[in-house]
Amino acid sequence: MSFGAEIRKDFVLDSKTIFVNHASCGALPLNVYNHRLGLVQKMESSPDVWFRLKSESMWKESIDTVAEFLGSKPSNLVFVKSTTVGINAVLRSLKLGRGDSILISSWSYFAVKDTCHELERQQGIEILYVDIPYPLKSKEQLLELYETMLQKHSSICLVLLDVITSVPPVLLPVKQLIAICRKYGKLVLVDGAHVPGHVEANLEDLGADFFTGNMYKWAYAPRDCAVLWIHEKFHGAIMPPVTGYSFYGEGEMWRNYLYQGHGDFTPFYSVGRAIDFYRGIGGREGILDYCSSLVTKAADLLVTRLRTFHYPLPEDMQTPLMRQVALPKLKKYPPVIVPPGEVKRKIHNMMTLMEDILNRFGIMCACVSVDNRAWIRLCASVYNEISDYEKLADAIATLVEEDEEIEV
Amino acid sequence: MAVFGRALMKKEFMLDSSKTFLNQGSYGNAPRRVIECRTGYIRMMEESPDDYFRWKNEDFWLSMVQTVAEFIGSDPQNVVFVQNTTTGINAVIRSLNFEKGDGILINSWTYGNVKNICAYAADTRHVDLYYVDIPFPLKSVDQILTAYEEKLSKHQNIKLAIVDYISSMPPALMPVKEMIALCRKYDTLVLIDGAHTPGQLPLHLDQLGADFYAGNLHKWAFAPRGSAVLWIRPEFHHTIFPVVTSYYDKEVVYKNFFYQGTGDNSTYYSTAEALKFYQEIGGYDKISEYCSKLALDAANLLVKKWKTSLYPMPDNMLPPFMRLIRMPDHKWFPTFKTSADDRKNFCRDNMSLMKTVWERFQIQSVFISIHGQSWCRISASVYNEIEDYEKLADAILTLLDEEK
Repeated sequence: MSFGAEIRKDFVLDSKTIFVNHASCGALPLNVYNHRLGLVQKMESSPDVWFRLKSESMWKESIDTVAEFLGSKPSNLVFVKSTTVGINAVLRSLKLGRGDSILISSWSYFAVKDTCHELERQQGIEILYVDIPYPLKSKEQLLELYETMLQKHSSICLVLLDVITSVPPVLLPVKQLIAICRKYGKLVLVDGAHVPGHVEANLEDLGADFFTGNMYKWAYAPRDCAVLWIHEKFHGAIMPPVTGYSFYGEGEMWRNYLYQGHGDFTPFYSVGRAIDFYRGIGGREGILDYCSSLVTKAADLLVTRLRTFHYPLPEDMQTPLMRQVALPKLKKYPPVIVPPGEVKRKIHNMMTLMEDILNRFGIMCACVSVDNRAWIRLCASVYNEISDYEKLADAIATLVEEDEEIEV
Repeated sequence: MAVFGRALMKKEFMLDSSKTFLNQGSYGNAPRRVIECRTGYIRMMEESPDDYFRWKNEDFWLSMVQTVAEFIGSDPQNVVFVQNTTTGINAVIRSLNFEKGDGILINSWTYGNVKNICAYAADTRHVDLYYVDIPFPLKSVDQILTAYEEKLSKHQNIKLAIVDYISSMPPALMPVKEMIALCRKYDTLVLIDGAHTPGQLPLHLDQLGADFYAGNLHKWAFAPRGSAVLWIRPEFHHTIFPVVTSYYDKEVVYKNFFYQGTGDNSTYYSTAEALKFYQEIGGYDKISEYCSKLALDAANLLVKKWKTSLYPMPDNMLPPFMRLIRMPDHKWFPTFKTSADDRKNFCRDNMSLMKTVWERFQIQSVFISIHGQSWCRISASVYNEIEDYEKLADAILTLLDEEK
């Protein structure tokens, strides 16, 4: 399989830009894009037939396909538009209120934090944080932090765990964390946004109560395609954020998620084609074989060129396809300084820097501010090559040079 | 000005022009140019997703809201996009602070999804649910208004009334202004289910007097499926949040609805193209002139050929572009006993008949049971002509003949 520039042509991605940020928005293969548009065509040529006669079988067929891909029983799996929707569905359905707490972490995704605080406002739920230190020394340190929080706060009803966090990009010891939560009898909701296609998924063995993950990131599905896995014992309890056509509370769970009012669900029905593409280019093994070594080389290259350092993480907590590298201090692009103990607004996008790198150098990369420093969060996908990161290094070096001219 | 009828279907729509489509009311149909416009946005999104989501998305949203707000007679600040009316209604109900014992008022003609969300609210938030049973047959608008006054005066705990502007089943133009006035009299908030109204009626939402309104652009305003508006009265701007929290801003209402992660807003961004089409083919005056007359003629034709009747309601409640016609008495068109508050059975699709009529005659129409009787709901849209309904009439007569 020819990765890099060769396979780049098979993606819809604009050829003028270098993309090293697959994690944020994914990238769509032309093959899957065309397939999806073909479904839109079918839908438009005969909508009643599509919605009344075909939808249910397309849904079921697509669920069967993605369930197999994720090691899930089809009956435990539904489509949702994104991980954020899945998380909202679970948290809004559980009847939590005053006196109950949800445990998240300072590394939780911002939309998760916002959802939690919205529920705090609406329902009086307390939101507790595991404040992850900088630097994190070991897995054991993390496990201890969770153990301590769970021991201390018996009000915790549910723990929201990441498998792979977005910023900083970290692979968490999720099975061990789940075991600790179980020890204390807590519900577990796993934010697996980055899981499908990136790390092995075997949802039936995970040991969680709920899991939600995006198919449009590392598994090449169109946007608005994600899954929510719900343990059987909660099938009657977890309702989608939109109550729609299905007679809620009656019949099979999946109908509540299919009938969300009228819309375009072709992304769900394109998931089979996406998985075919994924497997066709080598599956997880083939993809990681190329991309994992590429992202490691890329991170090392940047650290050397920029004379900075890697985000300090235990080796066994590095993700396969993402890295974070410190940026040199730039007067023009200062990081956000966060007071110690701040957990909620700890991680920021550096929008101006990202915009400048895109507009001036034609490179799309994620620049973030966390732990009082600016960083690049790198990704390597099948359409990347080492020259992409060399150009990125050149771009940053130019900014550094220009920055030296700036008087404080 | 474009010619209406099948010629327009062939020229502008993606519907298979060898077949007959009489159900604009359910799913809407967008013209090819609007779908292509949408595809353009999807392409843009996929060519450079970060750029699209971080730097372009918001400008597109604000610009589209401006255009759509003008069409619906509203200040742009009161309007957000949602996927469909169901989602908009969910947002309002889930956001409002109901306390135990507060009431929600709906009626027997309330749309199924809305009945479901209210039932869910009743169960999970201990809200009391009240129904007005709309009499069958309905002789005058006053019967509805009297029933509403009775309920509102008797149950002062009713906090919110959900009122259809044009109901779905049966399709009817409700006395919305009078119902809003009644609700005001009893200090009840009003949420208008306007699913069918953009494009079918001229809208002046800022003057309507409601607190909330949700309506689909993808039915009669030719936008792609998955584009609707939620209108929120200014004093509720900081109260109503989307059903999914992605971005949480207490100050600016649109930001919460706009920023739904890396979701596909391309349907919203195609609404300007849809409204442009709407105006190009004649705008409200010409479209209404054509479709209203066609609905009237089609209904008369079907009633005559089937020897049946229209759903019994006052003439001033007939919706502009839809009709509900009684099916002939026959086993194909089953009847059964039901009650007005039976959520599940009040209105049921007759799927096997729909399938048969589609497969054998290539006609898409809606066949349902209400009050345990069989009906057909027709829509009259710009791509329809009277021959379409002749085909429908004959199809049913053929089925009846075959059974002899």
